[in-house]
Amino acid sequence: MAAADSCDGISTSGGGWEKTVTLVSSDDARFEVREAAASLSQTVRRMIRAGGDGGIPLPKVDARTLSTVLEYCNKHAAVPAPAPESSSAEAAAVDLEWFDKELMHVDLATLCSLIRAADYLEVAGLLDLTCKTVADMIKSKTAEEIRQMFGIQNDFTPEEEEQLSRENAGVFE
Amino acid sequence: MEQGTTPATYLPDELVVEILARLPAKSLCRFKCVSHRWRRLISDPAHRARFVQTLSGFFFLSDEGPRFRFTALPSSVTPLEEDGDGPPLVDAALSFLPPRCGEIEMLDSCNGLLLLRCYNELSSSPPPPFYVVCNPATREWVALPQPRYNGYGQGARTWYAAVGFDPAISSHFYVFQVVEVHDAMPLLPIAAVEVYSSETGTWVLRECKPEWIYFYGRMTYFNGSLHLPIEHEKVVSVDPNGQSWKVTQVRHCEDHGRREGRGYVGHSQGRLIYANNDRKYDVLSIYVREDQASREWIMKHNVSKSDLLFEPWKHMLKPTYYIAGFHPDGDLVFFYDRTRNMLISYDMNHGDWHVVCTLEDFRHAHHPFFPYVPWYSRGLASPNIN
Repeated sequence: MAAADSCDGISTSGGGWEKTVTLVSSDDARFEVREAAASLSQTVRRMIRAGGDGGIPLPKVDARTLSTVLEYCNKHAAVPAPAPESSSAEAAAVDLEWFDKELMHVDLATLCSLIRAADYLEVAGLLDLTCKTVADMIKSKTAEEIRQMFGIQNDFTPEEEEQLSRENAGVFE
Repeated sequence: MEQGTTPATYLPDELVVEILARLPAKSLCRFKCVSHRWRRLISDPAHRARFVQTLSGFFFLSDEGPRFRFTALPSSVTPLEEDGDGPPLVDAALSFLPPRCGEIEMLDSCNGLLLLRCYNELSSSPPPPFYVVCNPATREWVALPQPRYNGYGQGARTWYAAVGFDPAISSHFYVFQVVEVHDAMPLLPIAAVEVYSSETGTWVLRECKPEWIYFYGRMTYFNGSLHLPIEHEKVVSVDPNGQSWKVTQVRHCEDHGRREGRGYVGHSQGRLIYANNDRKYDVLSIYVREDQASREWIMKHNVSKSDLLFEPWKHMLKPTYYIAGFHPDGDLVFFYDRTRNMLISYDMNHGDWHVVCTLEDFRHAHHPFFPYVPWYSRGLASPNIN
């Protein structure tokens, strides 16, 4: 089995034997992760299938961002198979919601790194969570506040600006 | 990329789009002013289907050429339409409909779908008219089977119909046909509402529970129910299953002998809106029902129609106004001023107005305007295209 080649270790967490993989960040930090958690990333899953040894290099993600991504993956991969309507499934969902909320208590720059990482690693759930968080953060802001938050230069000419504000008058200020 | 250095918050186009796709229409509109790049991303036709849409214009009944036309709002009120850029927003002539649809009467609009009644007069013995539901943004259409009452004899009149579509709830749509008893002239009480569901592909007759109510104005589908203004400034709300017929009183008329003005029921910012649309009076009153469960209507605004006139006409003309619609995402009501042939937007919070455009070929009807919010996703749900 090709997957076995990329397995750097085996751990006994959770009472059973679990395969782990090693991920290497852009700044050469090594993270040993359960394969089930790492596989939430489609990019990593493909690389596990492709095989190789010495750890999976992720040159676009730094250690700080990767550790947060893996925190998310570890938590979400640990969720038991859904038994709908059961009280334990409901409790697990509430717990997960709390976890996600806590994880998103970071500044905009960190959120943007997480969005870029979630996109590159193809972690769909995390991409949705981070984009939703940013959308909630910015939806009530003015255009000028958006420019400041994202470090965007206002490249409209004064004439264009005047035209835009005139068109917006009384509608969406 | 933006000018200057790349900040930690830089995101490539496709990831900015991921965030924009999770914003309400109001924010999207505002953020067109952030930079040229954001403006381009928000306006790009390639992303349209992913963004929440808002009011882009009005279909209106016309005197010349086709029996209806479309007028687009300026780009700011239409956040996702770049002027003269990309494919046209909407095939306003509905040229995708086949010739057998014949002469077309526009009846209603709801979240991107239009309800039409088609009179096929090409054949020598014209069959009864039939309903068509279409999406002019995707050029999809579906002809509905005949309801039980089709306006020919049967002691019933079926002039009024509405379409109900809420993509946030379901990909299916409903069509409601108001069946009024014909033999009770001159007033025609509502006997039933016939409801077509695109999920089942069939019409079901829902008998009217309150007796002797008279439809009087412009109805709308909102939050899973059809809301019809009836006499004496009341609104009846009925769900597609016909289980619940809820009558609410907008305001108490002092004189019960009077029928009062035709009501206009619409919605804005998640609330049901009622406007007493009596052309005889200068003041137009706007009421709001905050949530579905509530029975209470709250007076929000009084608009003096003559205040919408500017000098030198202010004291010279008696204005004739039609309500064109409410902005779904802002405190704007649109009027058509028949005296000057102008479509006017009125900001209810600030009390100021703007001329949107001039419409010369407008045709009189009780409710000649159909607010249009485009819906770009394909797949007009339909089990049977006949």
